[in-house]
Amino acid sequence: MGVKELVRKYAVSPFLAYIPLVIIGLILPLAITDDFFIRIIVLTFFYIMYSSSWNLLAYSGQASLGHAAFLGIGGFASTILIINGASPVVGVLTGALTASLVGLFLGIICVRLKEWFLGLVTFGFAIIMVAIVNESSVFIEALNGALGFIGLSGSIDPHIFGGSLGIFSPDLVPRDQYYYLFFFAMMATILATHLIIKSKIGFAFAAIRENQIEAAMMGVDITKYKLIAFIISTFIAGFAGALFAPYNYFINPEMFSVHNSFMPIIMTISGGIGTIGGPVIGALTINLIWEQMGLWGMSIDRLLILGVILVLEILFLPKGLMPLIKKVINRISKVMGLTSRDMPL
Amino acid sequence: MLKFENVNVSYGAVQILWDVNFEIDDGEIITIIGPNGAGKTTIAKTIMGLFKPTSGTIEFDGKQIHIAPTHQIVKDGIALVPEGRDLFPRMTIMENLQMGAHTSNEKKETLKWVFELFPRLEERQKQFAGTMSGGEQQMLAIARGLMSRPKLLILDEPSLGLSPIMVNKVFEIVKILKSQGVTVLLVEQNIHHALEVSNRGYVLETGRITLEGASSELLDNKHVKEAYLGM
Ligand SMILES: Nc1ncnc2c1ncn2[C@@H]1O[C@H](COP(=O)(O)OP(=O)(O)OP(=O)(O)O)[C@@H](O)[C@H]1O
Ligand SMILES: [Mg+2]
Repeated sequence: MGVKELVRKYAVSPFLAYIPLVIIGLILPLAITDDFFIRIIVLTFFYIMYSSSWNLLAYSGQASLGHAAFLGIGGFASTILIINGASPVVGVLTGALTASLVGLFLGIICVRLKEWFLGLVTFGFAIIMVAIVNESSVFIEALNGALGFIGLSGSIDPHIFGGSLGIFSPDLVPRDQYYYLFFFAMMATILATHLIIKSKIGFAFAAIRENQIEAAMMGVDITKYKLIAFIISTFIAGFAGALFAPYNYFINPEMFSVHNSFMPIIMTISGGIGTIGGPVIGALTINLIWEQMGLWGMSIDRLLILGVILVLEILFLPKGLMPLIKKVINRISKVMGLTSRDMPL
Repeated sequence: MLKFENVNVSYGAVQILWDVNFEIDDGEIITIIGPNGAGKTTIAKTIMGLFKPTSGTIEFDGKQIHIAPTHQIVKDGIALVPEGRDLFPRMTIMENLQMGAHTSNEKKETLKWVFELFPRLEERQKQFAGTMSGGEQQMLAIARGLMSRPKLLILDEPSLGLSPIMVNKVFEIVKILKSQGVTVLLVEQNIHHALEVSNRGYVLETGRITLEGASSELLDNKHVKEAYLGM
């Protein structure tokens, strides 16, 4: 088999096309010695998961303006469980499930609302969560009780958790271990969103987004599928949050912040809303820009720059970076003499 | 198969349908004719559960469907090809057809059947629905309606705005469906064509059924001739 044929074969098969990217991801920690840079990449993996979760809900025509609520619920639930003795796997899964359960509840409130109100309700809910977590003695006791002395806003010393929470923590385990944990979690998330979007469920989501009445006339149970979107999306957000808290060795009500609700939105829009690659490209670029600005000594003013980027994108690149990337890939495949076939992105 | 009994429908305070009674039997082609604004589309949408009757009952295969949600009515075996077609313009032909098969478990065979009826759609399956001509869109709309393997297919003004060739094509499809035993409710302005392919017809005027009978009788009816055929 000639090289050309090989290339053609694998440009055609959807999953094989990603193999080079997966290989790069797998060998990256071997090639990079700078720990700080690895941390940034792991953070990017986290944002890819989190943005994919937001994107999936948007795919069904539901734009959440308070996704940080589910991120935070996942993070808090899992941390509280783990420091009270649950195994990390149980903690993370229960955290994700808790976020998903709350997501279902919020979804039930939202399904009958127009997009507008859906945004307001989710936005408001994230703010309510900050208040609950700040005020509720249950949370503080659950955290403090186990730790003995650390308040909600304090940083968590990973050593306190011994071997349990420590598995995610860069200080306790070889950095490669948490790198790979996030890498595989991200891969699982991307694969799951891919399979969902290409399935009957994904079709129903798209139909609802395009035209609800038409969707119903195709036999799509609108309420059911909107709730399914909520359940899956908030599960992934909670999962990402559960992994993030110990990675950050820090958990405080900031997790529910407007900033955290805003990030997946700008990342998804930057990459390309409604595409599988969109959140990936968006999280990668926005997070790198964000961290680079941090290295330049900027702090809160970075938000201002992101705001400007968002406005410019909505004006000039409403479909995000994905169409550009697709174009480049198609150009390359043409130069290589391949029939121009869109890479599944 | 389908039975309207004293169905009344209102938009807010305005009553549109008044004590509408009609019936469709298995395998029949039924036409509803009537002037603009008579309430024909309202009947179609009421069948689909998009409007709820203020009183009266709608029965389909022995089941009361006027209280059921739209998606359930589709599952029960009714499909509406709406007036103005309403496809998913940003989806491809194939994706539109797959959407139509949401409730069906026999996608492959149905797709084969539909492509036999509309070979052009097979050639063009990757084209976006929004970029097709009006006639092509109508074909896709009908094809998409068939993808759910409906027992009853409702066509709301399928020939509206089409060239004579395309109009013939639409009615040819209806004839083929009839020969294959699909029950069709046809709402049409193109009365001559419609009554020719159908078994029976109803005339709807300002929300009331004013006349009914075998299609051949209606074609000979003095009122129909004067008011609708311009004779
Ligand atoms: N959403 C609505 N709100 C209020 N009135 C409506 C609505 N939809 C339709 N109507 C009114 O109901 C009446 C019947 O409308 P309908 O669309 O059923 O008529 P039709 O027989 O299908 O007419 P055409 O031949 O023009 O399609 C009209 O007077 C119309 O203005
Ligand atoms: Mg009408």
